[in-house]
Amino acid sequence: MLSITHLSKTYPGGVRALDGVTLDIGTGIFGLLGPNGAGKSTLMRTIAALQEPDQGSILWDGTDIVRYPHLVRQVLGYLPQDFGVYPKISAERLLDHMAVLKGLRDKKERRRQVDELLERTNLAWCRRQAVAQFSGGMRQRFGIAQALLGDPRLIIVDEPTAGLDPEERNRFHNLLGEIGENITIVLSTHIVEDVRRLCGKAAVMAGGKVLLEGRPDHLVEQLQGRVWRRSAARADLPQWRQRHRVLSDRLEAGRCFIRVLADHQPEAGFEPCPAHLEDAYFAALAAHEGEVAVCSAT
Amino acid sequence: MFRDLVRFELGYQFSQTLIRVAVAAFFLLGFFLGYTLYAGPNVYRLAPIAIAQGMVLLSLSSFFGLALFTGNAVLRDRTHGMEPLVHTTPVTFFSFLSSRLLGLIVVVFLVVGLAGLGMVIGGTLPSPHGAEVGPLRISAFLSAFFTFTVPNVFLGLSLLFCVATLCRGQIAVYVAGIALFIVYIVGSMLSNSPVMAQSKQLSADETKLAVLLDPFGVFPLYEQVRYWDLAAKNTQLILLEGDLLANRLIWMTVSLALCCIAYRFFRFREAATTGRTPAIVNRPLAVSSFAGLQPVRPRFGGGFVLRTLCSKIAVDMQLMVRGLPLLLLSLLCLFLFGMVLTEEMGRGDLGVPLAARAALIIPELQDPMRILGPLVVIFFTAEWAWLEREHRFDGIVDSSAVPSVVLWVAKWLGLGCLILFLISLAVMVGAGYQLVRGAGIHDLSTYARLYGFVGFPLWFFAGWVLALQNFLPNKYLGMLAGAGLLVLARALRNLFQWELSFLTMPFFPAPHMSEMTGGGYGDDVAFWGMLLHLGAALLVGAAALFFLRRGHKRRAFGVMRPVAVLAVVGLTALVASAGVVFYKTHFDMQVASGHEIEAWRAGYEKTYRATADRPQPVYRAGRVQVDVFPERRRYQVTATYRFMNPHAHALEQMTLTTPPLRGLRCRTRVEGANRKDVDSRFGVETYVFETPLQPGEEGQLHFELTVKQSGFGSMDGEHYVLPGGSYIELSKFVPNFGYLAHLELTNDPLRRKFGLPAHSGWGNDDDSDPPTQPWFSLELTASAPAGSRALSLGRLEREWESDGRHFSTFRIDQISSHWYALSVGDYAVAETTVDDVRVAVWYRPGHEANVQTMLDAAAGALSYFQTHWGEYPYQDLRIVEIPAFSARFGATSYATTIFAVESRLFLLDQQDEDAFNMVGRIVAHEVGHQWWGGMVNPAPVAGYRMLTEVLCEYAESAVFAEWYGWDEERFYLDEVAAKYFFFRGYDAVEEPSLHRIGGETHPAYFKGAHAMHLATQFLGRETVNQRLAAFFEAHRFPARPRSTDLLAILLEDVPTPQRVRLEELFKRVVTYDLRLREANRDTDDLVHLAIQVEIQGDSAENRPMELEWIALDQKRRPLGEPQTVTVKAGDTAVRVKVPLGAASIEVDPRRLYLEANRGDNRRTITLP
Ligand SMILES: Nc1ncnc2c1ncn2[C@@H]1O[C@H](COP(=O)(O)OP(=O)(O)O)[C@@H](O)[C@H]1O
Ligand SMILES: [Mg+2]
Repeated sequence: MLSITHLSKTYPGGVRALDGVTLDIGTGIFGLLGPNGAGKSTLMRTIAALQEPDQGSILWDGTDIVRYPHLVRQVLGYLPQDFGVYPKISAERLLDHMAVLKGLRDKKERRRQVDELLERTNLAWCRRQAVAQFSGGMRQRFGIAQALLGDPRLIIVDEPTAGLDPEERNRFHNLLGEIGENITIVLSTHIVEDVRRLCGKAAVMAGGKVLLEGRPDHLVEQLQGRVWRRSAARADLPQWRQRHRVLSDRLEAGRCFIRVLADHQPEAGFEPCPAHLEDAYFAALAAHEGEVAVCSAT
Repeated sequence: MFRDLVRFELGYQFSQTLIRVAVAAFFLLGFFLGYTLYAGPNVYRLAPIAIAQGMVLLSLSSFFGLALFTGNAVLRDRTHGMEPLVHTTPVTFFSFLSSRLLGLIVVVFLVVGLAGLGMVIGGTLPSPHGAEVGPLRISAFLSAFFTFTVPNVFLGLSLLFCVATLCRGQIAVYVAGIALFIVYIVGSMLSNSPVMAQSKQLSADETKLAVLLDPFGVFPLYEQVRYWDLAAKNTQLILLEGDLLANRLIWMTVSLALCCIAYRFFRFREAATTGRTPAIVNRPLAVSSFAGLQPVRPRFGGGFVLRTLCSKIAVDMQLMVRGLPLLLLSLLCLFLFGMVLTEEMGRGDLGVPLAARAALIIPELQDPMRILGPLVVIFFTAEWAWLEREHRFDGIVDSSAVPSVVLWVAKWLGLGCLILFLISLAVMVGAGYQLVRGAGIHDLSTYARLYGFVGFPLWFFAGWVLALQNFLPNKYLGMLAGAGLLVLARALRNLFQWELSFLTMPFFPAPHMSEMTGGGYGDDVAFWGMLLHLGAALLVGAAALFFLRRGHKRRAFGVMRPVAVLAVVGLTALVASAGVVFYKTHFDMQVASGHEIEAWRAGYEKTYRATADRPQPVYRAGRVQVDVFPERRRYQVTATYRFMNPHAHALEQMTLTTPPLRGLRCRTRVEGANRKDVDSRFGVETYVFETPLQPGEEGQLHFELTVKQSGFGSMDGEHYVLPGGSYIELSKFVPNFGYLAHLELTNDPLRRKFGLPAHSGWGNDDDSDPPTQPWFSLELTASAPAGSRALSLGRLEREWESDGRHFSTFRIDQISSHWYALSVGDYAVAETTVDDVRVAVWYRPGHEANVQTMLDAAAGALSYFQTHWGEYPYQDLRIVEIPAFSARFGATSYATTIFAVESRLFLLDQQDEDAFNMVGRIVAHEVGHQWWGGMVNPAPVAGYRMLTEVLCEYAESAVFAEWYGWDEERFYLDEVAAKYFFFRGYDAVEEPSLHRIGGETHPAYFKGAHAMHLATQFLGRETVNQRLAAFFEAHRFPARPRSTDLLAILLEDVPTPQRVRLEELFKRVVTYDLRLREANRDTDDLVHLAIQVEIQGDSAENRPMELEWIALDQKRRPLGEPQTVTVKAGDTAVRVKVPLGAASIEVDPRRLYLEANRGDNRRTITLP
């Protein structure tokens, strides 16, 4: 059980990457949804004890892991958003090394687990090749394999599917989805679809703040009946935005459709449609942006 | 486009902290270099030659900067993952590469130029040691800057740039940088640069090649100034002409070629693939899941740290060590070590190699490792420190459970492994060299010293640099900081001149080593010094660990325990060793710093110089008991000396001086006299006689002396007590009468600093006869631990064992001075008898190789001298081996006993029958001192050395001419002529003529040898010997002859032209430069010669000179006898008749003129 309270972090440049983040994360996959620059990676690095927050606390099963970072490291599996590997070192060797660093001291056990992970991530056939030569998907799989070494209770994966082709992404999700029930997994992504499919709980972040938090289906529920849709000419988009809370605009078969949030039908031409998680996400972002705009206006 | 690129490049470079810091650092470095410019004693600090050397050093230091900047400029795309972006832009190679290069050039020359400016400023400041600065001439700086710094920096830059663009590896760039240093070291070694403090010569052909091939211009520089005298050194500019110009042009061309190569072979596309093997094609994830994955429980208990440490080191090593660069580095090191050994060991003085013994090899290997080691450490530490970050693997490692202490310690230990490896390379080369030389390896364990005395210091240094890297934002700044640490430590040491130099970084213990003692002079100091540095390194490590960068700007809490352990251990080591050092140097035995000793000597002179003329008694006899305790490094003396009044009047009082240096305590008592004054600062006591000491009356002095030594304090090669080998010039440390002139400072700048007038040396012209010196007799009983024995002067009267100690009593009745010494060691002996004299060589078992040569030489010399000059009055003549710590002299001669240094005689390799018999030659020289300096004891006035060293040079050559003939002699003469001209370049004062010579050694030895050669050629060996015999008979002790007494006999009735030539050598300072400019065949047997003669010095009139020439055949063998032509100063053209088969002509084949460069005396006969 991970409970984060009032976590704040400002980078030297003045960017407030985390702004009073409070979250309770239980077992299962927890999705962190947010646009680029929302502060997801910052939050994850902070949980992974790679950087210190300016304020706030993070408790893991009741212990303060900002104070005692080694405690979280002992139960952690972390896949950074962006990582490289050592050149000239084979997948097997590197995985074995990581296993040692994670406390697997029994050689037989270690080898067994390394073999198993390589097998499951379909890297066994190139186990003796240098990881540096792997293509993106393989490298990402290697990353998840190393995060699973040992017996991690907390797994943090930061945008693991960025840059993967859809099929590969799909499979990767399947892999993640079955890691285990009583493990806490924090997954960050900017793709709503991922969260919908995988996560039992999710939070939407932007500008370092948590805008929305809850089970994805609950989040959608709240919008049910309030989302309207119509086709619109591209040129008119700015006008529409001024008049209504436009959640998104999207091309469908060459025509542009806008989706609008409103308690009642905003205008003729709009038709009701079922709400998606994406709508919830955009609604939250729009609300946040409005706030920011108001702030900067005053 | 190109303009924009360059502008961007410059903007980028100057926005870097690295560049800004580097500019400041190099300015300071230049300042420091300027402040410490030095081209030898008495040479102005701002002498052009000193500036040229400084500029070469600057270019060398800049290579370090270059390795950083080049990495930053060329490899940054790669480091920051920008490569694919940059390389796909439409930029052409040319503008891409040249903008980078141009940016680099601008930055580098800005940095170097500022350093040059710093040098000017630092150079003009007043010297800390009172040395003369000389006039500031900007032109000297500018010309040196453009002659040396600019081409060298350009060469380094283009090489590194080329390597960086082609290899794209940071380590490759470092290795290229190190290669530049290695080339420099080898070049300096070969070129006799003072950096390496050697004086030996390459053959003419080798020189020609080396002059052109030295990339940094050092070789042609030293060729140009080799024979410059002091005045020339201080005033003459280094001229960019001849060989130097050719050299510079060649290497500028090479630099340009390197740039072209970089351009020619650089391709963007190649860069895109990281390895040679193509990237692996993806095989997508088969349907699979992690369901049911079996977890493995990690265990973090005991042993976890160790296990992770091993794994981390193994992986790091694999990354750092694998690959071509390290292989190249190893090869470079092998090359360097091999060069050093073949050059320094294989080609010693006069081409005689040193025996391939580990004890001699180790100090030679230490030198280059001390220069290169820190550099390698700085480079590799940078890579190591940033290993995870550079490969962006840090997130994964840092978030794993690995203990923080492992992250730091693994790197430190890994660096230790690298250092271990490099030293093992040196050991391999050393042992290999021993094998190649056929010496066998019996002393492999001795090489452990290399690990201890080079490895540990480097490793401690690595700890510092690693810690610095942890605190700095990028590796280049870290490297700069590491180099800064080196320079700072040197600067501090220069400033404070600390005797113990624990401040140096890295702290390398002194390399002296002796096989006799089986160790170094100050192994205790080395131990404590290294413990001190270990403590400091651990403390620094603890600090680094406390602030360890783990993750993103995060302090590594949770390492409190390891930090505490490291800090406590480090602090304990530091405090304990510092305490021991402090105790040893302040309580156990006061150790004075160099400054303090200088001040003491100056103070002594100021206080007591005025009393120098006060009449004092002289010693007649001594009965001395010495107990030497080598294990405790102490000895004690109980003695009774008899003295007498040699003057014509009674003495009221007398003064005794015992310099209270180095743990020496002395208690004196004089019978029938009372101590009036005691000046304990200078160890001067005044005794007043109860009844005045009448002329000829004798008195008795009793004293007890204890001396305690330790490795702390500077080494004194004339006074040390060590297990296995002690050497004590005892008569210098017992109470002596009156003012001790040898305590005066002799270095004039230093004297000026203390407000003393220029040193008078031996120049006092006083014609008054010195007080008569009576014969001195000595009875010395010495005790040494069982198994070893003491050896001293005279006949061994008695020896016995008692209380587990070995006693021996030596007695000698008639010595012409009261100087004596003794040695203690574990000796074996070889003996022979010649003319009733027992000739013995005492040596350390295992040092037999040259013993027979010594016996032969001593016996041969003894009988030659007895036959030709006069009888040897003693029954014993012994040569006694003493440790290498005395290597400042080769051997030193006392009545009956010659103390000879192991490394200078016993460990020379004289296996080669054809090689120069150096051992025999030195022995003959020292045996000669039994006559010249022993039985003939000259008056202590100017010209003293003419009756000692000059005549002993003759003694050697007399014996050797008989044994080896003219070829050997000619070789020796050429060598000593070269040495004479080399060393006179460092003379402080105007060189005195031989007959007025004082403390100067090189004219006495080297010019003396030539002068006596000329006398022998003119008068014949027989006549010279007869005249020396006559001189010996007339002036032997107790007479105190002067040089003029010898000249009167030697030059009697010599015909005028020859007399003029001889007087030129003995009474004046004249040198020549002969040159055969042309040798053109006119007809079959007539050859036209154009001869150029230059005369330097005070040769009076331009008179006609007789010059010999000889025709040589194809194989350079002489045809017939030398012929004579008459020439004049300037150019002379003559036509001579040559014998059939003449291929070349040589002038002055008999070496009758003293000249530096004999290379141009011979010329192949050409057709017109
Ligand atoms: N090391 C850093 N220094 C300064 N600013 C940073 C740093 N890392 C991230 N930021 C800034 O913090 C904000 C949040 O970044 P990040 O946590 O990476 O967001 P996300 O992962 O959601 O895209 C961004 O505006 C980013 O520019
Ligand atoms: Mg991110």
